[in-house]
Amino acid sequence: MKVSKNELTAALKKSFEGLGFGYGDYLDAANMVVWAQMHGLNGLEQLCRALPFLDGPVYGCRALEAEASELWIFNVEGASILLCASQIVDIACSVARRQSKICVRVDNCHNRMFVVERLANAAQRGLTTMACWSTRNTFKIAKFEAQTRFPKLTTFAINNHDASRAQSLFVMCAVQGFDLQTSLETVAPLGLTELAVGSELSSEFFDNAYSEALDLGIEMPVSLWGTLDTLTARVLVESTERSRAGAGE
Amino acid sequence: MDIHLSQLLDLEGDASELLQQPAVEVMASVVDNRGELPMRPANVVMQLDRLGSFHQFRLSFMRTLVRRMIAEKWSIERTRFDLDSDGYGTVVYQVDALHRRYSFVLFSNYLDDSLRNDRVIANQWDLTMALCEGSVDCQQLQQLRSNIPKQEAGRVDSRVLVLSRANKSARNFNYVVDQLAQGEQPDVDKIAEVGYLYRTTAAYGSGKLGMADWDKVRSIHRDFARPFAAEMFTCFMLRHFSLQQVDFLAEQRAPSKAVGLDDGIKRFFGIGNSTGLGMAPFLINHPKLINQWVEVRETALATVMRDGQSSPAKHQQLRIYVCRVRQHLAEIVTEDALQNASNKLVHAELLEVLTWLDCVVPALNDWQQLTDYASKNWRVETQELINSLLIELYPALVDVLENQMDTDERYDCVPEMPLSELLESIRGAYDWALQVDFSEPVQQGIFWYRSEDKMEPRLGQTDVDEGADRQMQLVVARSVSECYRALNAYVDEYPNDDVARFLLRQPQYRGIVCRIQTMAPLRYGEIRENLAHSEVLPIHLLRCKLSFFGVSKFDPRSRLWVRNTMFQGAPLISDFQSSDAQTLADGWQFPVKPSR
Repeated sequence: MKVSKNELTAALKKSFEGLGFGYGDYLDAANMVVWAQMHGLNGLEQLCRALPFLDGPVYGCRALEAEASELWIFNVEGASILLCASQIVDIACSVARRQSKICVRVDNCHNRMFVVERLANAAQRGLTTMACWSTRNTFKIAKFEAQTRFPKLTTFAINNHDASRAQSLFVMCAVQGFDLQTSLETVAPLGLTELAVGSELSSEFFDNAYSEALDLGIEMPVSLWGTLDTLTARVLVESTERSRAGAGE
Repeated sequence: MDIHLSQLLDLEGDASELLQQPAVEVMASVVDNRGELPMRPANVVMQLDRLGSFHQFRLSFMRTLVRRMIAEKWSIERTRFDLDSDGYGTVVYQVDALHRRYSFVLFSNYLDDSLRNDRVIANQWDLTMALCEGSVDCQQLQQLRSNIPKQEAGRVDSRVLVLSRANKSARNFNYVVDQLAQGEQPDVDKIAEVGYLYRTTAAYGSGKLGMADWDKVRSIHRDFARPFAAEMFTCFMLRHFSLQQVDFLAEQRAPSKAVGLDDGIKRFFGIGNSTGLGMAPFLINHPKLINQWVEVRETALATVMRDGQSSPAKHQQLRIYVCRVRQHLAEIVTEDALQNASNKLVHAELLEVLTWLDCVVPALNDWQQLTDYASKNWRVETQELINSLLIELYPALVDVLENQMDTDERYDCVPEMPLSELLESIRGAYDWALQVDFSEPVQQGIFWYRSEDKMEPRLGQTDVDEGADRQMQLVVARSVSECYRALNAYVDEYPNDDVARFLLRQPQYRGIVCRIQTMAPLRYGEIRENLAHSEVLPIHLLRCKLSFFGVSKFDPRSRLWVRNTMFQGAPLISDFQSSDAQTLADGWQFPVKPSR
């Protein structure tokens, strides 16, 4: 089945609310998933993988472990980025405005790709933003120039996996005129720069993906739609004769 | 920089070219060279009872749609009219607008009288319909036939812009067909009691049920790139069909005797609308859009106040409008005692307006004298009616605003904002919210929730009804108050922190902080009402939105839902090419009975 962007956003908002996300958080989380899906990054597929980990008590810890001038470190203890990306990116933006640039490391974090929408948002507000993270065999870098809508997303193959950073996410922000390259070099896996140019998704890819999804709709797995309905039902109230009067009958 | 629409009207010369650009760029490029517009303050305009007293005006969506269709000479042809002798079947109209072609597809089905229900929880209707992009082929028509009659239980695709349904007016439909079949026109007095043949109970757009997103409509289907334009057009086409259907049925019943409905009476038929609580959350969940609509209306009014030359011709025109509104009010039939009383009071006060005009006109220098007098002597509803009529007097001054009703709806957090600045914003823009004492039970007497019945929004009584734990986040005043209290406590401990650090420690306030930061700089901002108050009147929210749609003849059925009439008095499609099309396009506000 096909769904529209608005419809998906509305369904996700209610589903995340059903999962216990707070006012504000459920909208941000919905926007992150929708952005990824609309821009060709398989947001729904990633959401399917994330949902089992979200269906429990909402874990809201944004534990700040270290706060140095150039590197802040959070440990979110296995939480999904859907639950904490807004606060993490907000802190990065705020510090970058004050001291020109900053790098934030988020340890033990899942579903890291979803952070891209938050970076897009911050870029629209005039900051250069970047995020990078490792998977088992790859290293991904998403970078937005200030005021741009689309990132450059580059995927490198890596063969020297650093297990201690397996679930870390790096978020970097800078005001215009400051380069994030040096920050990237400090966090990228060793030997990365010697590899051939990785697979790169350009602005054109994201623009086309968005236009196509907008024009034709989003392919939605029926089972996922059913799951979202079930989650939404948690915020609905049983209908009774008395409650029907509460709508004006 | 705080830029407002009011600056747009300080353009000299033709602004139409600039209006094709995104609104923000247009406004930024305008230099104010005639001084500030006398905009009314938010603490006057954004009171719920005043918003609930708004009436349609020149820039209401139905009005601008009709002007656009006529100015751009839209062509609307019936390409399929497969109805049986009882009026059931399939109808398709082909619509050639300025930029693109569309199809309006309608299914007419038998509905037992006992199943006719205006509520959102209904699941069968007399008519169901869709507005689609392009032409519709047999395959798509079959898909639509399988899904459109099911409404919320069906699925469509992004070629569909709007989905709607309607029920017959039991009082009017059979009477009109009977009259025409007997070779007689219906009695306009009887038509005036209801004013429509069908009543629509929903018009869905904006991507619901798989339809085209609003982002698609506004970027690709420019003919409908104004808020709710496609939904209004669907209702206009429903009206057109209803008029063709009664002619068809009378002809079927008595081919040799039947007459067609007179054009003057046809124009007096609108489309009924039944609006319930479902519309209310929209106004709270889209505050930037509502701010924009109100700002456009207020900018139009302020421009008239500043630049509208008061002349004998304008005085006379205003008298004509006031007389027309009095007749319009006198013709409204409603069983609601409060609405009846209100209509009578406004009717009486409008007579005082005429008297005042007769006495003051020789010394009337500007319209401010009238609005000042009105604010001291007449009811809020009369004041707002006068405002609508003043805007009506000056098309050349206000029509440049008709493309400004849309806005982006981003709600961004400004994480680097010092908390002292955020607190100042709250004290400045949300003083009304801080004045509510939520420790009084009456201030939290009700809550809003979604029912499992089609997610219909409903009101519950606090400590009586189930569902308070799942209530919708619509009580902005309470959220702001709680946030303000938390901020003050936090600032005592961390006086130099910014918003990002506050939200890191207290993330539960993120939603309301983003809203405050987005809305506080806007001129009109939020609707100033505690929506949890035991005595709140949600019907004001409905009426506010409906006034921007351009409806008339409010007929409240309770404090939670209201019937009204759309497009009554509007031109017919057959008028589009006529020599007086322009006059008809602009002269149908506050419809009155046609002369016999």
